[in-house]
Amino acid sequence: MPFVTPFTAKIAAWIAIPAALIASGVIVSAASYSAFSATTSNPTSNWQAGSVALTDDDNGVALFTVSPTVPLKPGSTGTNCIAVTSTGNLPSTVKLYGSNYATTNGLAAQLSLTITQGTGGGFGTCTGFTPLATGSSVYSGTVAGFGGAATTFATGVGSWAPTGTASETRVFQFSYTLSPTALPTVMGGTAALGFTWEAQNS
Amino acid sequence: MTRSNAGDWTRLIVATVARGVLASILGLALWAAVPAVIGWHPTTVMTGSMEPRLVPGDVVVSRPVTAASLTVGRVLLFDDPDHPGELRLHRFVRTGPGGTLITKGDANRQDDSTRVARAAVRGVAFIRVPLAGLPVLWLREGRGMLVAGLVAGLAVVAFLTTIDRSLRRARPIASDAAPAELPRARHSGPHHLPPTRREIRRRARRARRLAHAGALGVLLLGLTAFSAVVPPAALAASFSTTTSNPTSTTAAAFAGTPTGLTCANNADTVSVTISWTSASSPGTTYDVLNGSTVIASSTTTSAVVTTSSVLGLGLLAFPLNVRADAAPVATNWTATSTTPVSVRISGIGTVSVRCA
Repeated sequence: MPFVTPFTAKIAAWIAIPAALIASGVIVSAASYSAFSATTSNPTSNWQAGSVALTDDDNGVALFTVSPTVPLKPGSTGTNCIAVTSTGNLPSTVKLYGSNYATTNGLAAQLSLTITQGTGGGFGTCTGFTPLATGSSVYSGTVAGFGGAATTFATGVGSWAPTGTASETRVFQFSYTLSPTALPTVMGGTAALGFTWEAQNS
Repeated sequence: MTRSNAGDWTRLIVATVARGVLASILGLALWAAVPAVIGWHPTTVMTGSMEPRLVPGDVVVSRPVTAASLTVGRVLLFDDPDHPGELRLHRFVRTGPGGTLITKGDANRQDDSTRVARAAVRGVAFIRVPLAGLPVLWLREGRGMLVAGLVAGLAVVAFLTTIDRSLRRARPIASDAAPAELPRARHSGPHHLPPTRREIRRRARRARRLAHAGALGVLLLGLTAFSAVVPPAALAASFSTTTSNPTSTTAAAFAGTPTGLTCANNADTVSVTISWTSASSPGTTYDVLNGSTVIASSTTTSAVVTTSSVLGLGLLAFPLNVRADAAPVATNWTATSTTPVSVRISGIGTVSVRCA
């Protein structure tokens, strides 16, 4: 084996640096190409299972459907519960907001809406529902106020923050009341509102 | 020969690899940081919502573009509409209502729920520097021990770059035969004697230490500049999912004005039937009125008016109207007909009520 001459050592001392810089450039450009080139513009369907996951127990049935044969009158009320379950494995924040909000004759402004969070009960029955000891109030106002203001995650209501370490279920109780002093102007009016829970990792 | 030849080669290779590792890291850091000089945005990917294309710890550099030149399919860096002050790095999948952008994380099942305004777009992702932002990610996740370990590891690598230093100097064959030591005379005062060999070696050592410290300083400066440029607060991807309850619908009761009032004499010759039409909602009740006096009530669109119900009025002929009550009368959810129908009291034979 030849001796390490000072010349060899000096070459070795400096060759590594340009070589490494070129290598880093190749790494970066290859990584950029695979991530951003046009050929990869079709997103994959490789969903990461369960990073954040939410389900509810409504089986696609709306919380309230007022039958046309029993329309709302001043003082009419309704209550229903729904259980929402987070099975994600990341800590997340859950917000509740409205969708498809619509009203005619100003009915929604005369409909009070109270949303309470707790445990027990489920869709179709609030039997056994127990509000949280603290922070149980999610929303208290009118349907118009909720539907008009809470429309996105950023404007949504709620304080639920699943930790992501285990499955968590929270039951939401929805109650509405048509004001006993509702003016005749809302006669024949309609109100529509869907509810969406969204979890985003925090 | 005191030195092992194989040992020399080992030292040379280890030092060369160490220099290569340091230069690679510095090179990656430069790729991540230098584009910021021309106004591009380096950000650190914090979550896996764009996996497998982007993984947490990557630094992604985005190039500013005009709002008009955004194309579907590109990965965009934009102000997170759901978390003010944060950034999101997701793919532009469709154009939404009003020219807004619908975005989605590749690893998310659903589109992002909030539409993104074109003005909120900071740039199009252009350069991906794999894992260059790991220290930022670790710091944000509170895993300071990993960062400390990384720094310690880099220090070891930096030390390893120096172990072949002696090989670059002329082989000290001559010095193997130790030079004769000069007398240990201590000189004081302004005497200028030619430097001893030991003095020359000492100066050379000092110069090497200085150069070495300088190189380390440059490295530290580079890494500091890198960490200053890559904003640690850049949260550049987020997971999201939704569950929805279908739209609930409600409708309020309605009192439709009764119209088309008719009167028909009943076969019993002592009563009449008043009929009308109304667009009221189901469940509405109706009152037949004379003025404000309720003569008869019904849950359908007709009512029988008997003699006894009108005798007390003390009239011979009078108009009747019909009021629809969608809710208890006190709430005023009512509507009253405006064209009355008339009935009269007939006293021929027995007293009876007849249509006028």
